[in-house]
Amino acid sequence: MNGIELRNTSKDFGNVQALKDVSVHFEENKIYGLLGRNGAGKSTLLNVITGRVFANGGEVLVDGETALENDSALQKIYMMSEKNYYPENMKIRDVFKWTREFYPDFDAAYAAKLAERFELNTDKKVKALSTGYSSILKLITALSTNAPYILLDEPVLGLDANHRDLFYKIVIEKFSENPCTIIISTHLIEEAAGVIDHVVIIKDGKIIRDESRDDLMSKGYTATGAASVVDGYIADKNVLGTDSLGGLKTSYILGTLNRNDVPAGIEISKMDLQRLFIQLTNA
Amino acid sequence: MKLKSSYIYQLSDMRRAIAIFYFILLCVLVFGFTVSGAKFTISGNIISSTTESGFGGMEICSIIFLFVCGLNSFKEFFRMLMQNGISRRTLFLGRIMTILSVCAGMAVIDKIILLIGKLIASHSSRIGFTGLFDMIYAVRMDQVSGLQMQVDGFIFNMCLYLAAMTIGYFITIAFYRMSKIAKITVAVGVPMILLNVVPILDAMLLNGVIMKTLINTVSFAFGFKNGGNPYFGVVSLLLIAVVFCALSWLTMRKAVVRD
Repeated sequence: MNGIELRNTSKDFGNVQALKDVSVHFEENKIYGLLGRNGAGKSTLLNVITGRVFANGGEVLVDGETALENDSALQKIYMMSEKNYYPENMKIRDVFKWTREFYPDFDAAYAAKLAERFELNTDKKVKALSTGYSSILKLITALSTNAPYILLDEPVLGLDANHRDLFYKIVIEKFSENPCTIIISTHLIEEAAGVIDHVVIIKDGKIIRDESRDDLMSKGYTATGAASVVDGYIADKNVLGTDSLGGLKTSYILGTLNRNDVPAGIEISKMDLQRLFIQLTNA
Repeated sequence: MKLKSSYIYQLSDMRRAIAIFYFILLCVLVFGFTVSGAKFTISGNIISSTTESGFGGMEICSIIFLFVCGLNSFKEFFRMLMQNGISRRTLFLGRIMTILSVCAGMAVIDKIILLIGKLIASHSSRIGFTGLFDMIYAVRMDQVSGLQMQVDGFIFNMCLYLAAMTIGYFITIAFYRMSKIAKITVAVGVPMILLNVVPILDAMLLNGVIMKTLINTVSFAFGFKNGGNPYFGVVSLLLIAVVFCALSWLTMRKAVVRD
């Protein structure tokens, strides 16, 4: 089976179970949003895929072959981490040069073009970069490798609004020109929602949602109105959460909307991905 | 393919350090030769004009350098290569190839420097220049030809360098795997036990048995008990290198990328 597949993967850190029997399949040529709260297990999941940490159980397959200590499988993946793993004294252009040594499909011209767009000085040393520019370096490197699977862990950490906007544009450009699997692990759900095809939500080490963004979004809606009317309406519904302000109540409902059931005085609206995420992970 | 990349990357990083090392070493040697060969006048008196100024055993500098290189050969490379989709096994094999190349290369360079130094020294009555191997196995000079002596010296030095570098490499991996408390305990405890506790116990309770055993073992391992045969030393040093390589692999095969 093509893609990245995790089968019954578990990972413990002492008494903390970071991943609990996780099975998930990241298919080819899709942009995934790997969403979860702090400590939910997002980074651990990505680190297990790339073999940076060892799982306690289960297995990871890349295009059907085991990824563990397997160079040919690992070469299909490039992971951008939150932390910087390039030597501090290395110049940025040398980072590109060496990445090309390890990833022969690395597009140096594309990297140079992106560096220009992000105004990244390639003569600088890695240690001289700010948090934002360190993220930019890692992003440019990741997107230029042309690896079939690109894993981005908190890709917009420290980036200002302009650079974040540019990043999302570049991801879309890149994906339309050269489709690949991109897994974006992020907290900034609202911003990333525009580029995500498929959503994987992880909570306390377990995958609680794994479906296309459109499917997920179609399953949730909000009902707003007078508290007494809303309470009557939601009595038999799967309510993820509620907000109250004065006499006004908003309920977040998971399920298919039947407009004929909606009583007068209730306003129905679509739930955005961030709101849905908050409600799902608070539940 | 990935092994080649792993090797090229790790070797490339060492080239600059080696160039700096030899630049400093050559500066020191040139200074040493100049000072040894010159007549100095202090308050009108000529000194050092009749006595021979000898310096040798410069390979000790290479041993220390390679040990320190070994100590600095893990964390940064591990992170960089894991970042670039290289497995631990390929990283390790690349490192072994790097160690072999560096040690062989430096043994050749040191031999060339030694021969040039000896050539210069042969033209002066005041300068003596001896290699470490010649100092340790001086007795062998009378038993074998000059060429054989050079070949033996090269092989011995290379094995010495391999042992130094692999020991350094193992120490740095072991420290990488340890917790902070374990690091402090080992860093303080091991030297204290080896340099203080053991000698005191040996002297006070064991009547020097440990020291005698140690001397006997070293004498045997380096062939001093067998007419100064350096190939005992070569085998012993190779064994040390192999053991520390194996320990390094066993220690690093489950290493994880730490922040």
